[in-house]
Amino acid sequence: MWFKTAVFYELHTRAFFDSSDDGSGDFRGLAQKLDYLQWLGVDCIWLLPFYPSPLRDGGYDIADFYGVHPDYGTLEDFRSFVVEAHERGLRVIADLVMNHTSSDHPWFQESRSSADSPKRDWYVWSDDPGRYPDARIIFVDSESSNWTWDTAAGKYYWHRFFHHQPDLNYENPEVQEAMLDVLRFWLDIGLDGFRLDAVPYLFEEEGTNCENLPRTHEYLRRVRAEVDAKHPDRVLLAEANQWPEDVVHYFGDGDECHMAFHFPVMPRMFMGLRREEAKPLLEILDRTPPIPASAQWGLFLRNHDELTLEMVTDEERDYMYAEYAKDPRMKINLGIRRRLAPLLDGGRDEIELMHAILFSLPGSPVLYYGDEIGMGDNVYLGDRDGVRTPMHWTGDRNGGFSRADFAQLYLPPLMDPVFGYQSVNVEAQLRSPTSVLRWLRRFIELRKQHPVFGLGDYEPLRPDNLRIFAHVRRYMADVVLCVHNLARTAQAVELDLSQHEGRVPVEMLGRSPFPAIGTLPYLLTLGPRGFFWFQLTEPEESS
Amino acid sequence: MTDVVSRVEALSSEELLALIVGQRWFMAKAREPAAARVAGVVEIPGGPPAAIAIVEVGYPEGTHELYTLALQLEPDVVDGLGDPAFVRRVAEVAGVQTPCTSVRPMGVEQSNSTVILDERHVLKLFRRLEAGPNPELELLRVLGRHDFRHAPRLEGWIEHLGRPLETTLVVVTALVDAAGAGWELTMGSFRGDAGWLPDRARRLGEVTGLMHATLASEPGDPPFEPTEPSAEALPLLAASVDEQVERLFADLPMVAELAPVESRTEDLRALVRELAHTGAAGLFIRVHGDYHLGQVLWSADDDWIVIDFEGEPARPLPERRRRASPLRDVAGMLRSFAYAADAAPFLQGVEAPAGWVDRCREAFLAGYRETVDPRLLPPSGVGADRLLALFELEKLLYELRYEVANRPDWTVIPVAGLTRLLERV
Repeated sequence: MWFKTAVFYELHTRAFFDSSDDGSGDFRGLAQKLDYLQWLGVDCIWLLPFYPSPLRDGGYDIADFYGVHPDYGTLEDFRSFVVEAHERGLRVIADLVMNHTSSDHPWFQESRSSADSPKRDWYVWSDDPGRYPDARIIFVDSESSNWTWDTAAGKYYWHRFFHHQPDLNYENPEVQEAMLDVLRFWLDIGLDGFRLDAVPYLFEEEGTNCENLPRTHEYLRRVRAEVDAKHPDRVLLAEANQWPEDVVHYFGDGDECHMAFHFPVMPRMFMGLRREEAKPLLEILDRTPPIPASAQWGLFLRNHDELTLEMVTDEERDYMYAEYAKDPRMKINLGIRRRLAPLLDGGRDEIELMHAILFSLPGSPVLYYGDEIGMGDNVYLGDRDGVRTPMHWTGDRNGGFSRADFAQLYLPPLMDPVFGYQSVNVEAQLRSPTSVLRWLRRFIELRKQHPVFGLGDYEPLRPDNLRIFAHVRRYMADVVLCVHNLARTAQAVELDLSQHEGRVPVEMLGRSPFPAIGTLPYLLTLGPRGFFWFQLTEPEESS
Repeated sequence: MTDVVSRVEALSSEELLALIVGQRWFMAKAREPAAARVAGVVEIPGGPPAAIAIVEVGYPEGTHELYTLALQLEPDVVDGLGDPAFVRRVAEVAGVQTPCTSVRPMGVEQSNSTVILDERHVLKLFRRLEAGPNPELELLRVLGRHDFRHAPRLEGWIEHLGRPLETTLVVVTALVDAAGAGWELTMGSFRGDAGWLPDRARRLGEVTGLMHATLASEPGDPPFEPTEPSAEALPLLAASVDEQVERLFADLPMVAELAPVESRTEDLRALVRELAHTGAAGLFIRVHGDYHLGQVLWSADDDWIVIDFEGEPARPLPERRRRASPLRDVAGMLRSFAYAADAAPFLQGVEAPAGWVDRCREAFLAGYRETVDPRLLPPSGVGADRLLALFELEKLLYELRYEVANRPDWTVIPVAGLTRLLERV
């Protein structure tokens, strides 16, 4: 159950460090940066897809499940990277796309080649592009239908994402088996688990929206049983961008995925910050059902995709666009393609507050590479490339990411005066004791000292001051009070802590004791965007 | 599956915990284990049923630790290396034939149980297990392969391979015929010939340099291959040390002995910033990892023998196996000289002679530079001095925390060290 108290770090191998001077990051380069990740204190690296791929969708279009894209090195490089990560106590999970393949995958090429092909039935073919009409289109900006005509096959094929990503046909037991083989292969190499991309879409059924079907769950239970049988202690992390009451089904009775992302909580953190009120957060958390004891939410502020606004109302979405995507270029699909620091206008207090809220919530936080130094984005790059630019290691050429010629780089590093690598980089922030990086490291360490954040109950407080998001986490004897001021002005708040009467709040970052909790409401004052985390100690332990 | 293996595997959680909880090597003294189970068994043949068992101790929150038990099953299930007949069989499994007419325990250790057999062999049973070979076995193998004469000869070992983990259970080495450990001999010398260590410090430096050069001479062996550290290695070290300085006085209870350095946080942080500029760091190699005067013996042949290559037992195994700058070992030994001098009033009731530490330091460093492979050090002399000082500072901060928590009156020792460091650099 390591994942319940872990801090995850999502990164793109291509974007991290280039050891071969060819302009693209690789596994040998990543291995050289493991000391950094260990120092930062993260527990588990989540790798974006690194398989051979035509890269028309950032590698989520897999053309071979059993290899490593040549840009990233060899399978051998990958193996030694995993060994070296494990030696540092770091785990590694990888993205795996079960739902579909690239249209370049030999399976698809074979499938389309002839009606007699043994692989014909590995994909979803139809003469009628009107089937499954209730399934929504996900990439609304680029696709007009979930069916695309294939001249070679003389039929339409089904795809929930890009048209170059045909869906595998999970009705076919051979496909089910083939995907289990893929999982076994990587688990045997030593991967600690998978982030299962696009899990809700494995099966299709007429008259449904083709999401979350019972047979999809049935297959996931099989996957889990296979993993547990031979590879205990690994983790399956489901990506299902849905409401929490729907997502919980992916935990099953503790017999499907170990973890699932809690998507809707994320935009509400940003909304709460702009509106300066706790309501959006409280509402979504109230709406979050309990999950099995062995399961865990994955929580994040930003990731490699757009800041998705699928799980908000139209009105909320308009609000979010107006507040966080002033330039229309910043929008994509139903979301905003920007990084954390620019979203928060580089505000240090806001960055700290958002991390504090993220770290205080029940779940395991997932950080996105570069956000730990407050890296920026480049909205002039296509698709979501603007948030996938090279990591800034130093103020040197190419941000220390690569010694290749600038023109050779897979994407240009950021060079703007505010967020560019000359001002925002690891080397400079390591040297500066007050940097975001050094602050975040201490904060990760603090969270990890208290398993309560990963394991404890969550109990919201509802003070009269609606700008304050306050809650209590409790695990065995450890009781923690988290109070966050979402307002850009100083606030006072009275908290009803009567059930903790007699306990002494000890502020967790500085370890200073505060006045003991009495029978009256507990009064706290917080600076603009300020927060306090307290351990509520029994009087004798604090003295 | 043999009868012995199945009998060991059938031991109940209560039986196992009764043998583990309360032992000196049991880590989680404050925590209540939920359950224990046998996770691996190495049978010890050649007599009444016996085995070395790997036991997984689980805690309510889902974590677990692995311990080793040396079990004899009859008449009652007992753990330990007290019975000579049993120890003889364990040694035999490790590949060492010895009659075991005498078996005596050697000190008490946190992480292992060690006995001396027939005054000729040292058998060490690692009690707390982590996945991976124990550095003691790894380093002694490499040093032995290169005929490094300043470490005990490796004679045998027992490893567990496959599930649940690959690990070292037992290591047997030759007993070193020695007058004693450097620490005790030095302490004793303060009441007699205080020049004892200064006269031998140069040789100790030479031996240390040779040890590092030998550990760096396995280019084809992945765990030992000397490597260029990543560009972040030193900045990360400096940032960590800086953070320790920053938090030092916030975390420590105020004791009077801290007064001389209490107001000097900013000076220390300025020093860290200065020391961080070392240029290239030199190659990183496998190192001793817990190097001090207690780990070197003055042998009957009048030379230094280095012992105990387990690394710092409090640190996780992968960290102990990590390559590092050899100057970390050097800093450990230099701090040990200062400790000896500053502890003399406590332990011997005498002051070390003036200049004693400096004599030891200079002689040791001169000897070290003579024998060490220069590729392992920062290429510039200034860089090497700074990196060494940074490691000394790191060590001092650790000592400070340790003494404040355990022996507040000894706090004066690291405090004096910090003051000297601030003056020196």
